[in-house]
Amino acid sequence: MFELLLVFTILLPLFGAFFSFWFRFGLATAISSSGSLATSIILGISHKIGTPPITMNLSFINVYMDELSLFFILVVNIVALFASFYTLQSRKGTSLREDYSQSKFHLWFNLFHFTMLTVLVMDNLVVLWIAVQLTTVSSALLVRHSGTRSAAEAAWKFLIITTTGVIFAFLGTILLAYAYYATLEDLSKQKPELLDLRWSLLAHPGTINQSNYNILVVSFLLVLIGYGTKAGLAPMHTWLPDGHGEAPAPVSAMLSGVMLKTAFYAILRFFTIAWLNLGEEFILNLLLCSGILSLLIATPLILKQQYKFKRVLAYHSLEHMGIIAFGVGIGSKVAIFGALLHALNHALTKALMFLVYGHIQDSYHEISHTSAGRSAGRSRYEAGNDKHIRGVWKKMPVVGTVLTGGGLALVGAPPFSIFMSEFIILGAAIQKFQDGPPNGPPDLQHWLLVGAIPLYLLTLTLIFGGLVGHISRLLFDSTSAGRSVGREGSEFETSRYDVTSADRLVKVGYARLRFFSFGSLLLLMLISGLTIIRWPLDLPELLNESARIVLEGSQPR
Amino acid sequence: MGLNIENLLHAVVLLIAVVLILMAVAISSRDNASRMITDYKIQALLLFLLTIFTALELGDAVIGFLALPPLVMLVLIRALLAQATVVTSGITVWQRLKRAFFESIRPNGQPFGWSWKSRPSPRLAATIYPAKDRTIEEATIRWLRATDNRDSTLSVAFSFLALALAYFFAFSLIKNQPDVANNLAVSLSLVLIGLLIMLRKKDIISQIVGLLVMEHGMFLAAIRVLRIPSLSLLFVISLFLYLGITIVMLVYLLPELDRTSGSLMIEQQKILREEYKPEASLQQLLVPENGWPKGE
Repeated sequence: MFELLLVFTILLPLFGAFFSFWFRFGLATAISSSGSLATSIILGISHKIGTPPITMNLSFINVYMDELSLFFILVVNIVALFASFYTLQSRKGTSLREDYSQSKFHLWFNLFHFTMLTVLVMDNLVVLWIAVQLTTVSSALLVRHSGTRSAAEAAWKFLIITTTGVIFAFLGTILLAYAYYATLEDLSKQKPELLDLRWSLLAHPGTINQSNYNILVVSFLLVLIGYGTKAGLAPMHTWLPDGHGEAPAPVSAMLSGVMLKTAFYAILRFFTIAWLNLGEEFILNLLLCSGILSLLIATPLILKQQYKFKRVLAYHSLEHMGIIAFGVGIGSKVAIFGALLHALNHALTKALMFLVYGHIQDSYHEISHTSAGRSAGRSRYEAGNDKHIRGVWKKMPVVGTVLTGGGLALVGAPPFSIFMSEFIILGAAIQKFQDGPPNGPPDLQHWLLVGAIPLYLLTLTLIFGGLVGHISRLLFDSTSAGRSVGREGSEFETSRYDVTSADRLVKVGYARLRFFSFGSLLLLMLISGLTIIRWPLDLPELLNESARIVLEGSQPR
Repeated sequence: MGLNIENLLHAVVLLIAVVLILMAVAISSRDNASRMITDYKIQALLLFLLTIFTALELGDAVIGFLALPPLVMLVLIRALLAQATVVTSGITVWQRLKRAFFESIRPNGQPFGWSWKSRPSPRLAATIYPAKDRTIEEATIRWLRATDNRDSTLSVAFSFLALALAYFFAFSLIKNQPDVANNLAVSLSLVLIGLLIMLRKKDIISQIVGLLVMEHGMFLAAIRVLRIPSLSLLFVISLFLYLGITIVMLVYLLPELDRTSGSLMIEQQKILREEYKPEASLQQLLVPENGWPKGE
């Protein structure tokens, strides 16, 4: 029963890919995503927390789903649902068939969704590596979808940086396997099941010999570098602004909202193994430092004037990945609870921002598609500058409101959800600092926290200011760009718009779906800012159990 | 320690490892993409042999399958890289792959050596050579000229530094098994030198060669460090997938990069940098005074 639900959850996007590509039936994406979300919610309700994880074995594919996986599956599916509503684009006439490039987009979008779900349920760490690598391919092909020069460049950069990074993760996996096999004595006499490099076998204290501890440390370091490249942690983040900035809006939402989190999920799995076996603060300090470094690097980049708002959002993702890494690096159960909650909140908020901004871009883009300014408009659009998007509040009141709400949520203003998770992490950090090490003199982490907590507060405040500046420029500033134009501008006023994608959207009625997704995301954020959702899923219990799994591994409670 | 077959095999494997590193250093010092690719081919051949030897040594047939990826790359590398600048108007990825394969065994339609037909049949020719396209040879000439790489002496110095680092690191990590430590050191140094190549070269073709050298290091680690038969199938599958990804990248993304930017130099691929500002005239042309769309 559970197995069937899990199989449906994972395979539905694959069906979506087939139907949307083969029959050019774009609605299949939305249908399969909602189906996948529905089955995963049913799975979450029916699978009691604390019961043994769901496992399935198909030769080398070992499916293993515990509460941590379930939580991340829910995050992926929620964001994928709203993004898939957004992918419903224009249609020619009344036919439901889409053109070839559009159906290719749907194909890769669904495969991207599918590969991310597979990352979350793979027990074998080598298969996990394959799945992470497959997410890279599908998302790179989505990033280049618009076919412009900048998109090709961004896809190239994304692919080459993450592929290089993932090689290090592979080396880390190999070293972990080496340490594990060095511990098992006389390999030929062991059961074959024990020889697989499975997380559920490794995540116990004492699976790795004391003599191999330095190998384990190096392995975790390599994995942190490797998957950290995909998760967008600090020194390896350089693909983030390009990839997020050039991708179509729903893809940006998926990349920033969930792909970074799935890579971080891989880091969490390795973290559990290293933490349980070493039990040292060193592993925690590593994550803590990388989180603070991400925050420090993100701050000046957000404060700086960027030529594209999506790049600001991308750097903001860097900041939030830093916060999540910082939360895990504190190492207490409350902090990990906060970090996981933050992953959910950030996914929802960032998805909303990318989708709303994509809608605004679509609407403003109509101007450049008038018959008069077509050629010039194309080249402006390719240049990627969006200084022309100003005064949204006046032109588009409803979208302006949503953008304001999303922006406030994103900077961490009180009634919204991100404030809560940031506050939980801060509280946990202070708690950890006050408690100090259980016995003996203050250790390294104590002193690190002395520096880290003020830095955390300082960077959050600075980023608050920077982002509010960017968003208010977007919303209210109608002077700077609008007034400094030459006479050519008047041409656009009189000419009728061509029937463009956004126009057709309104006619067909899919714009309403977009607004539905904006509204429900905003509502979800507001509700989860006031309280942690307990219905239909008991989210606090789920998060508690996930935090326990991160800290204590796979043994039963 | 007599001269038996195991010791001989062992010595050969060690020798191959040394030559693998030397080839990586050579690639990092080349200023010519053609020679770089030749070095890469030698490396791939050696890796192929090494994999076969390892399969014989362990008596594991599955590891023998791992010898296929280096062999495929050895045959296809030049044609695949040439795909970057071949004009690919309206042919599918599958056709491009087929064409890359046929042109790599029969450059410019000229038969050589072991080809089973002197000319491709008209139907085959129609599918693999659509009209008006640049041939692989012409394309190769174009990007071979494009390379302009940095000081090679410094590259060699850096490579040897990376080599020393890798050996120090591996031997301080794995103390009781010098054989495994050596293998780890070789694979780590291949990875580091590959990274160095990617950082120092100025054109995309050389960067890809660097990535492929890193991939060789990864292969070596999978084959020589672990030696667990039960995992080998998984590694075969994962490395095959990795190779597939590289090919997708080459066949799908590179021509587009070349088509849109008109160059394969890294300098030309920087329009996304912050400093980039579009021309003011274009910007002014496009911003109307108050002609924004009304409502949603």
